[in-house]
Amino acid sequence: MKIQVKNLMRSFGATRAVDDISFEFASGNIFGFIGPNGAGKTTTIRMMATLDLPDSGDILYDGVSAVDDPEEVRKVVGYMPDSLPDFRDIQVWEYLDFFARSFGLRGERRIRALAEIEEFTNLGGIRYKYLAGLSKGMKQRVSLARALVHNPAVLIMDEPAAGLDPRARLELRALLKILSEQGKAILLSSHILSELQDICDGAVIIEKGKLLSAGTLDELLVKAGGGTRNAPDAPRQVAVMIQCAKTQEARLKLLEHPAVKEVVIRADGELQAFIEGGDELVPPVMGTLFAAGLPVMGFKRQSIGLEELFMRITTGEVQ
Amino acid sequence: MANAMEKKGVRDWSDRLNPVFIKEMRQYFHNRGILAVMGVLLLVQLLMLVVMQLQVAGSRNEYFGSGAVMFGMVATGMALAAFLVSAVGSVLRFTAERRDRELDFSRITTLSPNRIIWGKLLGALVMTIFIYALCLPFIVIAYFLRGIAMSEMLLVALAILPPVLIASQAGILIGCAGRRWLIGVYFGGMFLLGLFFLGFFGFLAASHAVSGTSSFGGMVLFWCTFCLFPFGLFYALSVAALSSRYANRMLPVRLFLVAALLLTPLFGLAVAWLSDGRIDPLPAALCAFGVGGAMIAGICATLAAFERLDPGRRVRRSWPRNRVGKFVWFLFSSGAWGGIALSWLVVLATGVVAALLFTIVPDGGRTGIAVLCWGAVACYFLFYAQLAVWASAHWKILPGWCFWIFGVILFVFVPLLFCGLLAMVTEMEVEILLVTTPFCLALVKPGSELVMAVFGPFFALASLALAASSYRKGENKP
Repeated sequence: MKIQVKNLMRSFGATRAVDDISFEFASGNIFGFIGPNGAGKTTTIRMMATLDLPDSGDILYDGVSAVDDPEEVRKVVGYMPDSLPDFRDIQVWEYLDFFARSFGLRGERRIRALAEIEEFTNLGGIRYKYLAGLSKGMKQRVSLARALVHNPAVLIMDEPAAGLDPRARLELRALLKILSEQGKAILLSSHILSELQDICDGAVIIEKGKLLSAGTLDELLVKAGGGTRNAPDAPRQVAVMIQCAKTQEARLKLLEHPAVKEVVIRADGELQAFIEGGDELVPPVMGTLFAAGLPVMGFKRQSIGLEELFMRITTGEVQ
Repeated sequence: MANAMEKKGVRDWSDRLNPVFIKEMRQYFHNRGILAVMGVLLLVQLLMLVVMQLQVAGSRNEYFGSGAVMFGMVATGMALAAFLVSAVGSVLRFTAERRDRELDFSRITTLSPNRIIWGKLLGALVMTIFIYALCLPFIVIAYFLRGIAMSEMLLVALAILPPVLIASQAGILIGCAGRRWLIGVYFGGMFLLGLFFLGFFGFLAASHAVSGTSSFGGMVLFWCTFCLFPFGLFYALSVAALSSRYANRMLPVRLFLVAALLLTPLFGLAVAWLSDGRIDPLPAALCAFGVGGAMIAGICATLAAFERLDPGRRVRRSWPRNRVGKFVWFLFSSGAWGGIALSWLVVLATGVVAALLFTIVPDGGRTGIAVLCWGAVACYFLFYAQLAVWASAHWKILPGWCFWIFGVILFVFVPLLFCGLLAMVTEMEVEILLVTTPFCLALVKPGSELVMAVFGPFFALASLALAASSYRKGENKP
């Protein structure tokens, strides 16, 4: 299944919460949806889950529009919000049973689906508990079970790891890996970027309602000039942090080298050089500085993770 | 083995039931509040029985004949419990379910609005019947105490059902909004409805005492009209409220209103039939159509002010290609203009009916004027709605209903207040200030009904011209 978000716009009064966002992902992908607080993540996710409608633009699930046919889209989308109702009068198994029935699961198929989902999300021990009596971690599991009960091809998760203890986070990561291997397309928003990096194939970064960057992690890292993770075909780019007393001269000298694509003088006085071609080109590039007799006090090969990427791309401003 | 087969049978059987109904029943029986109401109901009835026995024993009277009193108390308790469990239960639970959009099953499942509402209504009905069953032993005791016939008991038990179902349906409609503060509005509405029903029963009892004739036919007519209409309207509005934003939400509402309009002559004929020949069937049917039409036009116009301006791409795609079909679909499709157009057609039909009453019905002049006045009232509603539609088309910062409320305050409440204050402090005749209200001059100067019949259409036509100028403003919605 291919999910295409096309020119999505949503305003609340004078505030443009989502401003012309477009990206796409497909089955088997886990995409992280990243942005500072107030960036428009939840609004976008809500529109993708048919809970809200865009002012313009559309979300297509294999060509089926979430705006024109929300009922059709709901059949293939499982949405996991960051909360669960606090009903005192419904038990976990009844809640899941209701959703299974609501999605048209009948007879043995429903019983089997519920048993499988309870086992998968490890709900056996709490199936007779009331929703109001569940802990945060339990609620997240019930919420995931609810989203998966009709075996959707797409899973949209809003802060699934929020409030979970380390063990529960590890379990969630493992579950997501399994779901991805089953061929589900997964989009999840989270603030724990180090965790996203381990499981995500790609990311969508937004800020102030605008799309800053979207693509696979390798594409994003290359775009941001931070080297690659494991893409042999991508042009390898390496960032090197250099401490030198004569920054301007050093910058000009570095730019003379054909492998150096860009040199940035950072606020802390360090130079950041982006070298295209890989790690093996770092010594000859540095050699040009030494050969010119410039006072280099130190240098370090910089590795860029999702957190660094996020910090580099976003400004931290909110609407 | 037999147990497993039995379980499988139950599962297969339950698959045919509405999922919402199953969920509702499970929640009803898990809910401590509801179980407490039922427990209190049983306890009160037991106490009643004890008190009654003590009273009868104290006065050394026979038990026989006190059944009517006992049944009256049981029925009151039954009605209260049914209202609390079914109606209040519906509004509280549905409000809680709809409050958080992300957890609202009507938005994250493929259940249709119709299935959701039927599931909830069926749940309310079953709980009401369950409460009846709880009271059955006391009803049986009341029967054996004499003083009341079985048919009267059955009639009372049946009479309790429609108000409970209307209250439940109203609760579902209020719950659709998912706003806690509306629960207070619901209780206020139910209180007024209760007063209305009490008033009606008082009227029935009084007329029964004065005329000595049976009002059974009138009562049936009352139930059929005054219970079915709000029930149907609330149902259709609930379906609209639960449908997705750009769906053809108003289709069920408009279909219901038109169907109700077509049934209004039957109401007139029934009244004529019940009058034992004192009322002619033809003017009665025409009058019912005219008055009903005016009311429906007013409702339709007011709802139009609460709708989006344009039907939208999704709705327009389902329209037929030929012009007649397209126009009919336009009338029944979501979008303020369709509602306004339908209201105008109904108002015109009301005018035609008034003309018929004036011309072909002997002595139909007075009825014709009455229909004309009702039509004028509908015109006032069209006036407020069209102003709201025009304003929301020009200033998109606020939805139509905000402008409608603003218009009603400006054109109805302010003149009424101003007029009332002036009348209190001066001797001046300031009734002319009421020309923008449906009360107009008819209330203060008997015989000047035609003034209202002129002002109403004048305002409606003027605002129509204004609204029509902004017809294209709402297009290009999904």
